[in-house]
Amino acid sequence: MTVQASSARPAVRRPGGWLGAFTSTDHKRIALNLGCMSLVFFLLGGVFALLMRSQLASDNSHLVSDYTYAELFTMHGSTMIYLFVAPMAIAMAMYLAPLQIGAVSLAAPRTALTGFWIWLGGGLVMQSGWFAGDGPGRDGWFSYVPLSDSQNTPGTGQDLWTMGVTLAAIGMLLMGACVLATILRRRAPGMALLRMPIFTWTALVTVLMVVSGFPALIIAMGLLFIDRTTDAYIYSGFAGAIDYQDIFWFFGHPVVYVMFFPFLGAAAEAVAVCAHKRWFGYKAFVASMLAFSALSMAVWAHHMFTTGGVTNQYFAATSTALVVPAGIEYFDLVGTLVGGSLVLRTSMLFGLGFFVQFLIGGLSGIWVASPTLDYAANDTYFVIAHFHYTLFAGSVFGFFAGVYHWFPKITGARLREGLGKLHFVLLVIGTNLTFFPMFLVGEDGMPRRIVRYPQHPGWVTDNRLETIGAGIIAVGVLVFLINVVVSMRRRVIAGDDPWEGHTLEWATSSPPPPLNFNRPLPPIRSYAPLLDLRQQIADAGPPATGAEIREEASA
Amino acid sequence: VKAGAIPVVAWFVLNAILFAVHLLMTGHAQADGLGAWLAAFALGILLVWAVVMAAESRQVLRRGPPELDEGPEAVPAASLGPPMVAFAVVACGFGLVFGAFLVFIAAGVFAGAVFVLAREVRDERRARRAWSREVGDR
Repeated sequence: MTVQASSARPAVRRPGGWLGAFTSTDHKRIALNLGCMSLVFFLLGGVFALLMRSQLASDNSHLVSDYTYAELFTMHGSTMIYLFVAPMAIAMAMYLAPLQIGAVSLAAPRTALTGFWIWLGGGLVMQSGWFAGDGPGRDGWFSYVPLSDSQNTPGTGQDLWTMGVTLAAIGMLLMGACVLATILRRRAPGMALLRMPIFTWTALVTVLMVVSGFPALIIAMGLLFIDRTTDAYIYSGFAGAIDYQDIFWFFGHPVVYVMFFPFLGAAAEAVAVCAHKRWFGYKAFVASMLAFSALSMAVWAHHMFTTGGVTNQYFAATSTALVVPAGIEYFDLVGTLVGGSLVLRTSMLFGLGFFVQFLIGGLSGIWVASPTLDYAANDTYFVIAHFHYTLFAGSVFGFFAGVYHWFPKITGARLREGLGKLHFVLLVIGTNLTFFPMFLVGEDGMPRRIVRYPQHPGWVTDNRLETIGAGIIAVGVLVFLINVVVSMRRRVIAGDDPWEGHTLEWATSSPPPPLNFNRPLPPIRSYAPLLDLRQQIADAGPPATGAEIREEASA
Repeated sequence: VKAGAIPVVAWFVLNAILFAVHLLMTGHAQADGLGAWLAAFALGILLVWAVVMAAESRQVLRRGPPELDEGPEAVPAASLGPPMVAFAVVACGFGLVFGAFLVFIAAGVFAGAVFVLAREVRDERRARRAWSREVGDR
């Protein structure tokens, strides 16, 4: 423990090795632990996806049993959502937001550390279901009742799933609350709200949604656990089933945006820096973020259009209204690119890939926001295609934009550009080959969550293309891992500010020191203080030569 | 910190407007099952957050950039308490599925964690006081 004031900073003693990694309250260490563990879960979820796609490569395959297939799609969705994308979004916010606002540490770092370990414990409890006699959870990542009650899904595997999700949600809630408190309370002198960088704003609205949406998941899962273990009949009958869905989706839709906003911020930062231009339409972007996130808290029941238990008109209106703030963000992107001096680095490619591919997910979202069309598309592969275009083709591309952009800051070494571009190309091909044919088979009515499908013209070909695409994605991820290993073993030193960044994290060393900043912060006059500083130096003109100084002195 | 509560209040207002529109369109709070109550619950969380911040200092509701805080700030470098608390919580959850003995172990670990955290907080206060004295002497 150390005590520091803004004027003087005593030396910090920190435990090293494994003990240091386990007990460090440095926000960067906690975020790195969270990010690395999320990445491990991403690989695990990817293996589940590959097994599912291999099963679906032909119409009557028996690679896995019906029972195992249900386990695979449940654990794929659960792993990706509760253990990869949502925690990765929080990890990025936890690492970068304090740096971007000039804070020396996270607010309540012990709470964040507790949250990380509870989340990891929850993930392990969830995955421990694979060792239970009846296998892990098998009712989908949402586990609707009555399917998930103790009569229809008996056994400890589903109990472990329920408990695992509860613990993971508690952990993420604690970490999210710490990030929120940091952004609200720990901004550096001069860092007014409308001088916070784009990424910090996306992190702020994300953690606002975590704080107000995640308690609903904890309640839903807690009651489900009680229901399963004590036969309390909390979710009994039609009303109980609808109540469960209400509570679950009150978390379930905001979490889609939790898994989107920080990656939008990452892509926006990467694009602005690679365009050598400040992000266009900052205030409109901030307003759109607030509106977007508030609307995302009011659309949860569009997942329940076909239940007949909700007011479809209201939820269709709010869901369609989402296109307005989304449109502002795209307008800002175009405004940033126009007139910019573009450098097509890997981070820029992933950033642009994020915006282009998310557009497909967003536009198909307008379709399913209409109850009339949703009645036709519900429970088909069309919906699978839609949300994979938002979550994988969108968020994961934004995540990689962030990784290529901030890897030099986090490690002090650059990732290889050649391997990065190969990674990008493979991921673009793989993603579109996997998820676009899902629109076609979904439009034809192929139902989701089926282990075998009937012979239908084109379905085998489309499913085979999807399986090949999934394999290409796996190769792309492998190239990324090779890139990380190569770049860390044969380090190309990045320096403190390799890209001429705009925000405060580039004003400190790479990687940043324990208390984040080892030199005074530059003046903060806008949301791009380093760009301001650079422009100020450029406006002052080149430094005077010795002859000019002597001439001026004699005059 | 100056203006700290403004984003929470702004977000609360936006959500409250949407909540009101929801109630107007559905006619009454029960029309969408638990939905309206959940929205009210979320609004309550935001309100509590904003009120707690405002109770500490009214500055959080005023616009403008934060000012330099000269006071000493305790920044823990490492802490054993949080992993212990987390272990206790996870063991308790696992124990609810597999057996009560794990819940008892969890209770023991939790008690140990509280002791460790109390000592850390005490040391932190002492260090902060010592720092304040040192600055005062100078």
